[in-house]
Amino acid sequence: MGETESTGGVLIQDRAESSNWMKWVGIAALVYLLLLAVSLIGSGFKLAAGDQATELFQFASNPITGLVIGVIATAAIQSSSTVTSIIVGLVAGGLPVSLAIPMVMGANIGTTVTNTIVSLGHIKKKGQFRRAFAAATVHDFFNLLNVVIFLPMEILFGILEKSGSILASYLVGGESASVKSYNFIKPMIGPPVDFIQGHTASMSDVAAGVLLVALGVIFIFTSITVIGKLLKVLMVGRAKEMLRSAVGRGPFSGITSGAITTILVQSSSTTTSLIVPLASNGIFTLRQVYPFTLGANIGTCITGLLAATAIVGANAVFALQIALVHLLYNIFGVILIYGTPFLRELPILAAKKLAALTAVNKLYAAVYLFGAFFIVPGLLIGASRLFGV
Amino acid sequence: MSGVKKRKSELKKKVFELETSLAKLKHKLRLVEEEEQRQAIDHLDEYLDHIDHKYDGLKAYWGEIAAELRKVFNH
Repeated sequence: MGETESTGGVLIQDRAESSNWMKWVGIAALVYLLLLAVSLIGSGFKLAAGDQATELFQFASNPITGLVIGVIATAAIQSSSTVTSIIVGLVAGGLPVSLAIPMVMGANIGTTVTNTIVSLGHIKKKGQFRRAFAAATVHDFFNLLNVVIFLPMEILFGILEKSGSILASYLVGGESASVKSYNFIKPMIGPPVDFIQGHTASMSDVAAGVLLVALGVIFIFTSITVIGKLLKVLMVGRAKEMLRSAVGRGPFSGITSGAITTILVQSSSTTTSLIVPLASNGIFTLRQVYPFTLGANIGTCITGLLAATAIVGANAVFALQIALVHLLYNIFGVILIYGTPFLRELPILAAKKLAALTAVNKLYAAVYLFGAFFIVPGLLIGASRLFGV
Repeated sequence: MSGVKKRKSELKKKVFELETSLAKLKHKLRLVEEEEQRQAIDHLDEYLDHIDHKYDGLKAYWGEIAAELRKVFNH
């Protein structure tokens, strides 16, 4: 009996290890699909837009429009990783980095819709709902404050664009042979991209380009979604260890654990949604979960950086630049806002105030959800088109 | 005068003892809260499940809103 039990135990363990191994193989395949997809978007956009990439995106030359596009696209898809990977691909295809930066900022805001939806599940208990909603919206208000500070600075001084450019040039090395000789992405990604592109030879450049971009978007969304699901299963144990080790160790540890957990599960929406139930039952205070959400902002940038590795050639430096801009934007935001006592408190105050209002009248939550992520952004786009800005 | 000084000294000593005792209790409370937080983290799998079913929460929310709006319009 004992031998059968121990044999059975070993058998179950073998099956579990084999299942995990298969999941890792799946993740590797999906990462390849992600890189392929980004490359398809870059190639497709270049094909469709030709030399007119800037003119094509003229409507987004107004940074507010670019910001709103990022917000709405991310709120609709509920994945900033997907949107930023698409943006990396578009930049590789010729979209100017200066136009892409507000879109990336908008993606930061749009991704917070998921944790807000999760918080609504606590609606039946007033106290729980108030705490859950505050924990969700503190992330929204931080990202909003980050945009309010950095978007004007970017328009006036181009700090992020210039910083990203310097860092990207240093990393990619321009025309230096040292980087080219280590480039193994092109031989891996090139053949399937050429194969797919070869099958569009009978189509016009615009039609072929649009098809490639559409395929790329579908592949990016699929790969990131499935990677997230697989990693959630594989990494939940590591995520627990990471979070447990951060307990009682202060905000820097909270930020770090938020970033690492997000890298492990490849989704800031998942990470920031996890803290909602932790905060709702009062075990973690709003002030304790706040640094964790900031870490999630930083950790999610890894996907854009990964996407940028798919791009080779002259535009590789620009793809890397926008991915680095995303990272720098979030790091600078955390340092400035969390590092300044007055600024640090603003998202907490705003989240508490809004949560108190929604606890009294639940309709405020719906007004906020639709207003902040869809209606106001839509009105801003409409107004900018109306006034020809 | 010496009586007042003595009383003052005794009270200061008592305040110091109470503050020391309070600090120790706060420290113990912090340790208990941290243990509670670690236990909550052990239930991370359940919270991940909630995220996968987040639209059930949205349905519950709309149900509550609909009930409130019915109350308002039937008033």
